[in-house]
Amino acid sequence: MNGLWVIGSVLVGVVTLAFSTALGDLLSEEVRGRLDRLPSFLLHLAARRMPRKIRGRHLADWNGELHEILRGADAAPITRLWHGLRYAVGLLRVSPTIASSLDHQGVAVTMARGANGELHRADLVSVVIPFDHPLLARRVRDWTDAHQVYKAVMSFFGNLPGPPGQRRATSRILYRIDDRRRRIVLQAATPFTRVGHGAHVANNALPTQVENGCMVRFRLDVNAVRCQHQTGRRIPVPDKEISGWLAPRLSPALKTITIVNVKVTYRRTGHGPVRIARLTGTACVGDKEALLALIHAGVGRAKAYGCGLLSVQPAAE
Amino acid sequence: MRDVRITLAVATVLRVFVEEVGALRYGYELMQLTGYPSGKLYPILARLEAAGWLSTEMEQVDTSVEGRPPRRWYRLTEDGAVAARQALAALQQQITPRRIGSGYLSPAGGHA
Repeated sequence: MNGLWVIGSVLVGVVTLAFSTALGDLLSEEVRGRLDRLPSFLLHLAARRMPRKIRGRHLADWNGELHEILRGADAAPITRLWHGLRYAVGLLRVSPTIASSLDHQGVAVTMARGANGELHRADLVSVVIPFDHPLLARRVRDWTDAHQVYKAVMSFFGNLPGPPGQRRATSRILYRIDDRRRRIVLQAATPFTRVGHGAHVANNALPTQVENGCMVRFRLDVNAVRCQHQTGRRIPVPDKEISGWLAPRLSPALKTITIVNVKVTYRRTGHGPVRIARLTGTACVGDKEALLALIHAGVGRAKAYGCGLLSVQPAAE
Repeated sequence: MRDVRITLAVATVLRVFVEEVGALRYGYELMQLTGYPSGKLYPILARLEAAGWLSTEMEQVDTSVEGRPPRRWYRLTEDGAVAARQALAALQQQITPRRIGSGYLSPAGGHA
């Protein structure tokens, strides 16, 4: 009886050993396969940091080289992995720089003038720039940091006129961060020196079909604050009172203002958080020239932090 | 063709190309020849390409036959070769220490 037990135990042990060895081999193969794909995965991530139109070219280049690197070190899996990772991580870090270097000329953004020459204030250029633009990808690590975004936006321009601290205002640079569509809308009365990479010129500052008395839809990110009489402190305007706060600021350009949607968001600055109310609504054009001036100058405070840019479109019939 | 700021790293890459003008170089080969990692080499190649100093072309291979993806060649353009030589010569001149000519007095005895 004891003999049978011993034989049985030995058999079970042998089977267990064989099973665990096979399982170990399978696991090892699985891990090896996945690790081998890691550098390639990182190269895909690196390519995703570049504008879409040049991703394909660079990914093909890098994959060709990666194949060579991995083949050269195929005898040792750890060495192979190390070389592949080193190659891919380096590119992951600098891919926006590479894209930016190749954008040496950028897309020549012509100054957008209105169809009818008398709209002298239409010398504004409005450009839509995706978040993955190299200049933005490189400079903006955190889109809730308004100061980072501001610095990135200003890098689209060369030397700007005006005294330090007033250069944005002198060149009438306004922008809005569109988190949902992952892009910024940037408007300026000065030529852009570096754009390109999927950025495109948006509509003119004011569509030509907008006339006095016509209904328009508008969009505006605004820092709605009110100055407290006793203390001089600026306090945020409650959502319910924004309509009343906004009306005198848009008058006489826009009248009969109806706010359709208000969404409040906060961004960090060096002076504390800035409260941004994202407004969409409809209004009636009261004075077209005043509206152009308003689009040109912006609305309210915190313009350096993405507030004040007023966009107008004719309302659908 | 545009100017390129010649740093030591750029000069090292240019030196490799100038040693054999017209030779086709791959990215990984350049990494080995210069000792630079990908994160340092590729931005330099992009700058030189954007400035018109380098031209690139994709290798023509049948991936199913070769069993590998094609690679990109880099080569100096004609203008790039001229500009690279001039830049390297200027750099060489800049880093060569000035020799004290015979017209200067030197201490006799060799000890200051």
